[in-house]
Amino acid sequence: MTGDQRCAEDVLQDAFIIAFKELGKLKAAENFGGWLRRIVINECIRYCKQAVQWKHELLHENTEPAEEAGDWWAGLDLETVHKAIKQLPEGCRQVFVLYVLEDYTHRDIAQSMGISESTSKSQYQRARQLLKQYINTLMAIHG
Amino acid sequence: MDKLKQHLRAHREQLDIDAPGDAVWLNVKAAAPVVKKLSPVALLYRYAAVLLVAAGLSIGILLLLQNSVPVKNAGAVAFVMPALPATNKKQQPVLPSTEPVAQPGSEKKSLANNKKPARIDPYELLGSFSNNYAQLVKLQLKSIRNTPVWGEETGYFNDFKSSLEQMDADEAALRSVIKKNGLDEHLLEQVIHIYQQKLDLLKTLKSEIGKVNGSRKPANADSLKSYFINI
Repeated sequence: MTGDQRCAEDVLQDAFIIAFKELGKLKAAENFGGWLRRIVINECIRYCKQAVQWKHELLHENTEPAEEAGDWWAGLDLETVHKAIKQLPEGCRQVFVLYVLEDYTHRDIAQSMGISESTSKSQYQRARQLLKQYINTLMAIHG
Repeated sequence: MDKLKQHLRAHREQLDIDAPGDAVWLNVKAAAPVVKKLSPVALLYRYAAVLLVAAGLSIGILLLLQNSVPVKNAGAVAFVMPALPATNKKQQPVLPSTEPVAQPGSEKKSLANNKKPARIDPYELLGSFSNNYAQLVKLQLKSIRNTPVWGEETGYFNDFKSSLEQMDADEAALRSVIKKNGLDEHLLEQVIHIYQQKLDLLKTLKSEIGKVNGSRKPANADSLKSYFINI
């Protein structure tokens, strides 16, 4: 979500320290995994809220999904997809990760990131388009 | 859910490629709040404190029982102290008359005039004392239950378990007798004895576990299957 290994490590470190300090608040030991995950995601969101400068024009982009020819991602190497996700610009990368990998709704993203729901949707569409472009480029370079 | 999302969520684990460096975990370890573990000496002090309280309470109960045991025929006979002026107290030591003087009706009055400290319910004290001992037993049990055992089968410790169960049964029977017939010195001593036996047994069990673990722990003990005694 941070797009940078060092920042990700800082966030992870902060999240684990918080978890240790708040361990007493964990009610059921079997929920530990989900509880820790929630802390890590919240820390990521907190970091991203500070780091991402939402540009005015990005907030009013078209939210209509672009026409896509077939399942262009099918059969793709996931390492390439991972690399492409990391290259996504700030803002749309966070929305993409939260929506796709963390299964947040656009409403949840809007609330947690302090943006509108339509911005979240538009950022997601933008991320998809860019992802496709990056992957095509990567494929063209590496074959 | 759109297809791209479905596809990526289905292969989510394959996208977990980046791993944090070792420095992260070292920093977390350094920054994590230290959980204070009681040293054996501190634990010993804690046990000693509880024992002291328990011993104090039991002495209190014994004294109280001695004081509250009714004197035989007390209703019929009373010892009357001669009333002397306070100034003569030093010169003439007061001795109780050896001849019992029967004074029906005066008994209540003299008892009322004696300012005795507020009476403490011996059963309440017994309860409090038992709680302290039970707390000690609980602490020992908890410590044993949390000690991993290897090198011996669970059955090895069965004798300890059955002895403890027997002591529990004895204690229950004793309590039932106390409930039925009332508390006396002999019964109190028996209650104390049972608790002491329990503590001794648990202490022996702990030391046995230590011996078994110590003598049979090979170099790769971590790979051994250990278990916890369900006592």
